[in-house]
Amino acid sequence: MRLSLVSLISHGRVGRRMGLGPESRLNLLRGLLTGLVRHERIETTWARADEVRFYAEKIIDYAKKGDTDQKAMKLANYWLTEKDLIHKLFKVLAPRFSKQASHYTHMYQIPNRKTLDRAKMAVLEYKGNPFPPLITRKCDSEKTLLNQLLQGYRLDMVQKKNATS
Amino acid sequence: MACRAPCLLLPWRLMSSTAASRPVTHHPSTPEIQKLRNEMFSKEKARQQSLIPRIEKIEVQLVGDADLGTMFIMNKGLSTPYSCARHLSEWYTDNSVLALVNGEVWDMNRPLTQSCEIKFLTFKDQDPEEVNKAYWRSCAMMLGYVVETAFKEEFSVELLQSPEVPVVSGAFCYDVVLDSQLNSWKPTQENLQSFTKEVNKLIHQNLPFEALDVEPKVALDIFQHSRCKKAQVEEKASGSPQGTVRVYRFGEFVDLSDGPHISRTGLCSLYEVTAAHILEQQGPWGRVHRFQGLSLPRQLRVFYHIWERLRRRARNPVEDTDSRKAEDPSEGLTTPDSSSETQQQSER
Amino acid sequence: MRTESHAAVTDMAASRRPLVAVCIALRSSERTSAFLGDRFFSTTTSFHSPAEDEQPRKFTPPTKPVIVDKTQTEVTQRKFLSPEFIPPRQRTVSVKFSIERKDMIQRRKMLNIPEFYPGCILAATTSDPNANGKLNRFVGICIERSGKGLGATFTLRNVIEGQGVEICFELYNPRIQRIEVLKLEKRLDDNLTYLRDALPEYSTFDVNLKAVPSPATGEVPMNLLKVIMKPKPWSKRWERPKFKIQGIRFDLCLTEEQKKEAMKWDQSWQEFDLMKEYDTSKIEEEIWQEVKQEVGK
Repeated sequence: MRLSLVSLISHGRVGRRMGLGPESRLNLLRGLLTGLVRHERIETTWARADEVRFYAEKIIDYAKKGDTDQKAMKLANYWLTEKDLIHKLFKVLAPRFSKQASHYTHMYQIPNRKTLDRAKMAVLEYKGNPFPPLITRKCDSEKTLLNQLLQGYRLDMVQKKNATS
Repeated sequence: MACRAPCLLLPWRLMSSTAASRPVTHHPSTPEIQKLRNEMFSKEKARQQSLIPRIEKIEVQLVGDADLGTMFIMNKGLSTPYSCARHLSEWYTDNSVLALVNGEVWDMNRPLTQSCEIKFLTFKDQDPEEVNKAYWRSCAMMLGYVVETAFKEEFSVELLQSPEVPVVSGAFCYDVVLDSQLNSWKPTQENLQSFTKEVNKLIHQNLPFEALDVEPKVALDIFQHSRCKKAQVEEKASGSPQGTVRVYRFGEFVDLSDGPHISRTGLCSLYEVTAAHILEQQGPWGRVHRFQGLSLPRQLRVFYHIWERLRRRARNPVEDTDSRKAEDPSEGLTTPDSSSETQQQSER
Repeated sequence: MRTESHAAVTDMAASRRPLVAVCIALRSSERTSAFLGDRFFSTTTSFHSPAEDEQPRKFTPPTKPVIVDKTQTEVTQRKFLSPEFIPPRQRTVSVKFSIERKDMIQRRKMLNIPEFYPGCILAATTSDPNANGKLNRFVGICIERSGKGLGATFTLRNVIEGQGVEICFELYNPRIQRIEVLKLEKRLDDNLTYLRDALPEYSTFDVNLKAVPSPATGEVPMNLLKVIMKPKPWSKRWERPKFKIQGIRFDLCLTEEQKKEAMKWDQSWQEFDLMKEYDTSKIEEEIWQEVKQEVGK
């Protein structure tokens, strides 16, 4: 999950300590995951997003087993506090990722929170959501200086080739 | 050794003491001319500044993709787009090449005259054609300065003009009439390298390009020692609607140009003087040498292998018209081997 | 009988109760040597290896094969991978485990380690480190299997002459000569350490117990026995939900209030923490294939 010195010497403890204890931590993440399934893109602090990301992927893994699977249903019932989302999980999200074996989410870091505590913030989203993409690949246009120079070079090469042949 | 033409070209000037001891003739040496022009430029600029009676405020609205709705309150006739950029962030000062003021291309260091909308142009815009042209023009101007100052004082150097060459042709150029002693001179690889070194010094100094609109009378005064420039001033003055001529300066070098130019010399990262050719048709001012160079700004990165290829291509002579014919690559190439041969011959 | 003068014997409530659980670790030879002194010899059956009896062979052939066949056909047909083969959950590369697995398979080729579970009644025969050529046999119920890899252990418990005795054997210790399963069965729990606090009758087994033949295929028989505990205090609070004990008659020893109090420590949400899941099915299948291939050679 995390590659850092802390996780290297964590003696197998992989989760962060959040909230008021392990139960509070799960409740907190439960709320976040419910929001993520509802809206498919949420903005939260980086640590929470990183933490809930694991569960968001795992719950899809279970949802893929189908709504007849007892454990999958039990987990969905626990993790989705709003029960109308159970249907969405099994009927919308699971079929969407049926061709995908893992990596169902994107996580992006965004500028730190300005108002409260300057916390490191992140956006977590399920892939294939209906929103416009957050990151678009930027490409230099054909008319930049360098591309114009290269275009001229290519033209030269073509002309030389035509002259020799 | 000292009488051999290729060795005379040195990047530094050792002979200034002899120049000072020489009696002043009616034809002054190149640094004197430069100093004169510089002083006149400064004087004219100060005069124009003093014409502004009191500072008025103008509103400058920023348009574009980022920082929407930013409004600057600037000084009329004093503030430039560069000072607007400095109010925004370092990114703007580093990356802006030109400004678009009310749809008109504007130099970064030219004072704003009225309330306007401003947009900064960079190398990475969707359509950076104006920027490319300005960059090519400015690089050519830097080349002209270097060529003018690099020769020893015994050799007169007269700058003609920098032909507007499209970027696709692969190199920018500056036409120069050299001393008649140098008619058969061909630059060696070391000569070109010393030129390049000089340009790199300019880039390192990060000098701003200053624009000034002057009366033709003043322009003629500034370029009194150059026959060619005087003719150009007259031609341009008759062509422009206001009857003024635009003069540019960076550092101590003043040149006649329509502009616009880039904001500072520090925008260049790679710069190389690649070749000098003798033009076939002889102009009215004498035998014309065409110096060529290639440059890329800091914002555009290139793999060294590609740069090497572009450099090799920039050695071919460029035409000032757009219709370029297929050239023989071996023609006009100055290889170090051939020049060293000529050296040996001249030694004998 | 009271044990005095031994460090390992100083366990819980030795002075209070006649029944004392004795833990003997085989790996410390000095300790065991003191233990297996003359006092303990009566409890363990000792064998003298040289076969002296030269009897006229009259009717031995019909009897012997019958017994031997019954024990020999006990080789299980079930797919059973010993739990110590499954590496613990951790992030290191499993080189250590694969090397140890090779050694474990090597040992299994020499010694038949049968299928057994906590709750089975076993007899372990070990060689005496101090008496050359002597063997000690201990019969007891397996209350715990622990450790992974080459250091895996199992603990046998028995009550001998009113004295609780537990011996923790290392499964791959070369001193172990033989492991017999006298009765193959499963109990309600995977860990029967609560037998220490149960009435002694639940952990008392005959030293000369005969092996009960068990089916080689099908499910392992379940023993649904629920034990009755001694009055509190116990060594651990077995009523707490984290132990998930099924095999104790709590209705006899706890009041309703005590039950309610114990449920305060209920952490049923932990099963939903997907981060703590450790799915071994894939690893298990791989290791099973490897072990089957190697042992079969």
